[in-house]
Amino acid sequence: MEEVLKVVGLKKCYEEVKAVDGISFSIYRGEIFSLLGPNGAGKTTTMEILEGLRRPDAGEIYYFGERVQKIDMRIKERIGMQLQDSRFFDYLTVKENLEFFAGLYSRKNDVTRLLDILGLQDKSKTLVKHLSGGQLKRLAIAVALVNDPEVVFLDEPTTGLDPQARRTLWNIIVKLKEMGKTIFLTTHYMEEAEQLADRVFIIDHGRIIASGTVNELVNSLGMESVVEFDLDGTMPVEEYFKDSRKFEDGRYEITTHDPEKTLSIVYELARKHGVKIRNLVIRRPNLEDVFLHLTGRSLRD
Amino acid sequence: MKIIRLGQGFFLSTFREFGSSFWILIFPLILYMIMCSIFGHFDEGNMGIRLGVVYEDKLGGPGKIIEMVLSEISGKNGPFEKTEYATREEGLEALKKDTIDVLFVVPKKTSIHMLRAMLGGGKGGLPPASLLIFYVEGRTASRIGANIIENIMDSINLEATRRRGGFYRSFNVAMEPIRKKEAMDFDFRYYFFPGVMLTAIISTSVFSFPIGFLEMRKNGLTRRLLATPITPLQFFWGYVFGMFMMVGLSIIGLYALAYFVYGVKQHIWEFKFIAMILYSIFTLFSLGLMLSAFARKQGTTVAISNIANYILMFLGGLYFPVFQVPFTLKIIVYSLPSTYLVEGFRKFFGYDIAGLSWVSIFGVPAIWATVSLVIFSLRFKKVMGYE
Repeated sequence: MEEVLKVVGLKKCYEEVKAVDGISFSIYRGEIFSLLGPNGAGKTTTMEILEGLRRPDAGEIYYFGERVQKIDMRIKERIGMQLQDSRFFDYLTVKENLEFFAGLYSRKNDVTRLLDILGLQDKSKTLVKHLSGGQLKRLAIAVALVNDPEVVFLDEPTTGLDPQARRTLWNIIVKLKEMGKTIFLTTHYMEEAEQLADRVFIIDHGRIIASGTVNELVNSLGMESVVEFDLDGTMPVEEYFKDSRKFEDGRYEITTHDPEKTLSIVYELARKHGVKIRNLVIRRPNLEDVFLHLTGRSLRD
Repeated sequence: MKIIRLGQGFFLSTFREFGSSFWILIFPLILYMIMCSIFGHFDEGNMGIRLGVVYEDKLGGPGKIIEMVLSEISGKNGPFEKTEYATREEGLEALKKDTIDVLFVVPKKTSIHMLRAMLGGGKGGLPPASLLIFYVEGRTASRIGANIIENIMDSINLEATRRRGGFYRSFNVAMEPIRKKEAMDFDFRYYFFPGVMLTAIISTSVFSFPIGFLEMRKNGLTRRLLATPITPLQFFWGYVFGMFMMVGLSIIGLYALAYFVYGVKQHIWEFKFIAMILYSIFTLFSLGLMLSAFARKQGTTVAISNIANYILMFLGGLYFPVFQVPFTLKIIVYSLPSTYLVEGFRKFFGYDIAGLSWVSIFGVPAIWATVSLVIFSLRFKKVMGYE
């Protein structure tokens, strides 16, 4: 597989804070690569360095097989960026904004086609200031595609959207992959990474703490199941299960190799302490569990 | 090409935003109309025409008639404010300096010529007396004053002819225009035109640059643009070009209003006048850029921009003369670029209120522009950059 982007030992500090602390990874042509981590983990900083918006303190960046000291115009012509919370010209229409940005590149995509792909055709003559949050996110992706880029950076593209708008965007991202685009996606939604990513790198405090496909990451836990339940009283769950956790809403979660044995112990405990078990669920572990296992914290924390 | 593309984007976006459009395009027009409406007719009640008189001949006999008539029409009794000059040269100098509107010269031997005209009748003898009226070409007040004097002198001739039963030889009245190209009547339409035009440029400069750059940096547009293959320098020139188009449109609008509605037609199409507009845009845009070098917080920036705007407008004398203010304010007045720019424009119309030299008119704004651009250059990365 062709390596379109390679990062080695990337570092970036803001005064005393190590935002990115020596991370390394490679991205291959045609894949969706996801950087998953909680807010403040260093995802956006990493992406902004790769987009040329910030300068790294250390590290090497290779684009299309060549080492680059600076993300110059030549590279920017070949990559597209959807930035987190980026703004456009509020008093230009959707189409005018797309044409404006297309005019800044020598490589150009067909604006009408982009409007079709992003489902913005009926909004093409609407001023940007009148767009909804979801429409703005779609416009941001359309702008990222105006130069028909080889690599598309999507920085938390669905943050702040309702579930329906989020799913619409997921479909668009899948469509982009089908068009042969290489996609670098940052997100703090594990469902998003699970749904879309071919490979996931989990980042925390500026460091990559795990990487692989979703299956590889989940299997790395060595656990088959997760048992979740609520209690109407108290009992010492954590004393009996090392891989257990109590959430703020009172819900318990136990990661286990043997769900049957775990369940029987939980029932026995409940009987002994006179509490009732409610909303019991047994499910397969996910990326949230992987993150929890590795950091002791939730992605949402 | 990218600069033009960027400029078009910034221009169209600013043009469509009501707030910006109002202050840059519409407000100057309204202001000009208000100023012309309020002050445009102020001189209607003041019919005083400044008359200079030179008696090269000591008038006596019938010649006294002229002196008496001139006294009658001057002061409380008539529309003229009479000033006597010892020599014709002094009178002409006063006319050129706009101290008087019209100069009436009674040449040597006028008395004797008039006596002969009375006694000798209409034929033969000495040539008729010849009185001279000097006026400034292109100045309405001067022309009107000259015509009034000429009519009065004609009336004297007619009256004398009637009284003498035709046995009278009329004296001549020669109208002598002098050229003083810059001289024009004081006219508020002209006086306010450059002031309002500079208001439009100042508004664009002190608001659009610091607040515009700051807003774009805060709301992410700067970041979004720098993510495309453009350099911060292209971004900068694109924005300047966009604002230049905005201010250009504003000036075109003002020209159209002044020309078609208020009849402001003289001097405004001259190359040097248009060059002065470009020089003003350059100077005041530089000032705006310097302000943007210090813009960090929205509230503070808006406050500073407003203060700069009002100081440049009111203490710069864009609407009213400011050269008689107390000493402390005078220091500010004489250090502002707008003071010199507006005086420069008004000098083209012949209004040399403060008597500023051309060196200072160009020099002081040039110093401001240089200092501003140096400061902006030093802070360029902070203003135009993202990181």
